[in-house]
Amino acid sequence: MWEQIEKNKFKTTLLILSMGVLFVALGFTLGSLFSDFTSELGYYKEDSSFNQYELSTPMKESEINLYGGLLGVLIALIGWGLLTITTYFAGDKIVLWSAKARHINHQNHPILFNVVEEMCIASGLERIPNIHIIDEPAPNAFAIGKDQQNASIAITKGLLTKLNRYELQGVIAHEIAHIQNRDTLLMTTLGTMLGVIVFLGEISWKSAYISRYRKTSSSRDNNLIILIALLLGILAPIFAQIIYYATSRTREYLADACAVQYTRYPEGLANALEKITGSTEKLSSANKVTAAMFIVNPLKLTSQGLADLSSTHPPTSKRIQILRSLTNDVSFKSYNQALNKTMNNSSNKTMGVIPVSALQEEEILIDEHIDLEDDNELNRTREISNMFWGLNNFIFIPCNCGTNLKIPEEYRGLEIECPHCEAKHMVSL
Amino acid sequence: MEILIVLGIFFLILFAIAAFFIGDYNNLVSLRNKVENAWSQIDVQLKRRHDLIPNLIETVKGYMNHERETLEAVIKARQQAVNISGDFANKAQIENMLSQTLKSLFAVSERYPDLKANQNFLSLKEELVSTENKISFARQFFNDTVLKLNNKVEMFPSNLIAKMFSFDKKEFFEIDEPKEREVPKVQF
Repeated sequence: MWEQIEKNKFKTTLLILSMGVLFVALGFTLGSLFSDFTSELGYYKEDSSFNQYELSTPMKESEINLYGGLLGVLIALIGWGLLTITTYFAGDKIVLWSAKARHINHQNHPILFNVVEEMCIASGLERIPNIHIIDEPAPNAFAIGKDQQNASIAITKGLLTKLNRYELQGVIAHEIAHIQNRDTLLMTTLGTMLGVIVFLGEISWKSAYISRYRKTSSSRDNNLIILIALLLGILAPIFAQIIYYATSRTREYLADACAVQYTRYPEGLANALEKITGSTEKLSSANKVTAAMFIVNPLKLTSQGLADLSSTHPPTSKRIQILRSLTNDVSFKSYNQALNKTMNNSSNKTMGVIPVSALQEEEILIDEHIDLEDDNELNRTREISNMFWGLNNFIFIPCNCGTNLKIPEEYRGLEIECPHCEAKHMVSL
Repeated sequence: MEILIVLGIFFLILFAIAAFFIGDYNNLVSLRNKVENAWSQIDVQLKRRHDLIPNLIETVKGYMNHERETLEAVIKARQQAVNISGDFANKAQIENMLSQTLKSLFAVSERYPDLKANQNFLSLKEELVSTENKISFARQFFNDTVLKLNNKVEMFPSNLIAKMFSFDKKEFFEIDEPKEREVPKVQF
C-alpha cells in the first residue's frame, strides 16, 4: 500500500504544479489588465481621491504591465495560500457543514458504526473516521479529511435506508480506500484550486470583455493583453476542470479495486452502485467542486455525450460491469484485466489506475457470502427515522399497543395519550 | 586521478547497496510491526466476544428454557476459549468452535418471537455478529500481512537481510472451515 501512497504523492505534486502554472498565468494576466485600468484612472480622474495613482510622468506601457502582472500574481498567491491553509485545517469541517452533515456516535446507528469499524480492520486503517449522516433522500456518500488521523465519512439517509449490510460494507470500503490512498487530501486541495481558478477566470474574461468598451481615445494599445485575458479566462477553468476530473476518475477506479479487496465481495459494491444510480432523487447539497468527493456523481448529467471529459466519475455502469466480471479473484491484477476488457483496451497496460508494482500480487479469492436474514428496507427506514428523532432530542415512550410515542423536548405536559389505544403515559423529562 | 574515479565508483556502488539494504530492512520491520498490530486486533475482538457472551446468555436465558443444551454448549466453548493460553493453532480451533455454537444459538433463537422482539437481544446480536465479522476481517488482514512478510523473508535479496537480523516467517491464523452447520429444521 505504501508504494501507492508514494506514487500518489508524486502525482499530487505534479498536478498541483500544473494547476499552479494555470493559476500564476491567470494572476499575471489579471494583474496587468487591472494595472491598465488603474493607470487609466490615474490619467483621467486626477481630481478624485485616488492620489496614489496620480502619475506625474506616465510610465511606459510595458513596465506597467509587468509591474501590474507581478502584483496580480502576488495577490493571487496570497489569496490562494490563505485559502489552501484554510482548506487544509478546516476544509473537512466546511464541506461537512455545507453538506449539512451531522456527526453521530455508536448508539445512534450501531450497524453503520460496526460496518465502518469492520472495514477499518479489513483495510488496516488505525483510526476510525468520524461518521456523519446527511438528512437527504438521495443516496450517496463521501469521505473527507487531510490525513488518516483526521478523516470523516458522510452518508445520506437515503443510502443508509436502501442498502443491506453487504452493500453498505462495499460503500464504506470504497470510502475507507479513499482515506487509505489519501485521495481525500488530494481532492480537497485540487478542489480549492479549481474553485479559485474558476473564480479568477470569470473575472478575467468578464473584465477583458468590459475593457473593450472602456477603450479611450488614448492610443494605449492593450489589445494583446485583453486577448490573452479573454482566452485564458475561458480556457484556464476548462483545463483545470479536465485535470481535476481526470484525477478524480482514476481515483474512483482505484478505490473500487481496493474496496473489493477489503470486503472480498464485489457483488456488494456492485449492487450498491446499482441502487445509487437507480434512484431519481437529486442531492441538493452538492455542487461542482464537492461533486468529485461523492461515491457516485451527485450532479446527474442528462446527456452522456459530453460527459466523458467533464465527468468527475467514470460511468457507473462501467464500474458495475468491472465489479461483476470479478467472479473469483479480486486482486489488483484481476481488476486491471477486467478494467481493460471493459474499456476495450487490448494492451495490458494499467491506464494509470493501478500502480504497476501492485500487479504482481497473487490471487485474492472472493469469500463465500450467505444471504442476509433480515434484508428489510422498511425496518431500516424505521430505524433511521428513529435515529433522527433521537438526534433531535425527542423522547421515546413505548406504548403497550406497539406504538412508539415520540415526544419533543419542549413538551411541558405531564401526561400524554397514545393516539392508537388512548392509554395514558406519564412524561418524565 | 584514475584512482579517484575508481574510488568514486566504488563508493557509489557501496552507497547504492547500503540504501537498498536499509530500504529492505525498514520494509521488513514495518511488516513485522504490522503483523503484530494485526494480531493484537484479532485478540481485542476475541476478548470482546468473550465479554459479550455472558450478557447474551443472561438475556436469552428467560426465553429459551427448552434450549438448555445449546446454551450450555456456548458457555462451555467460551470457558475453553477464555482459559486457553499460548498455542496458536489450538486457539484458532477453539475460537472457531465458539463461533459455531454461537451460530446455532442464533439459529434456534429464530423460534422465539418474543426474544426476537427484545431490544436488548437485538443489539447484543448485532454486536456479536459484527464482532464475528471483525474477527474474520482482522484474520484476513493478518494473513495478508503475514503472506507479505513471509515472501520478503524468503525472496532474494531481502532474505539475506532477514537472515542477518533474524526475521522469521510467521504462522497463518487459519481455521479449517467446516461446512456451514445445517440450520436446525423446525418440526411442528
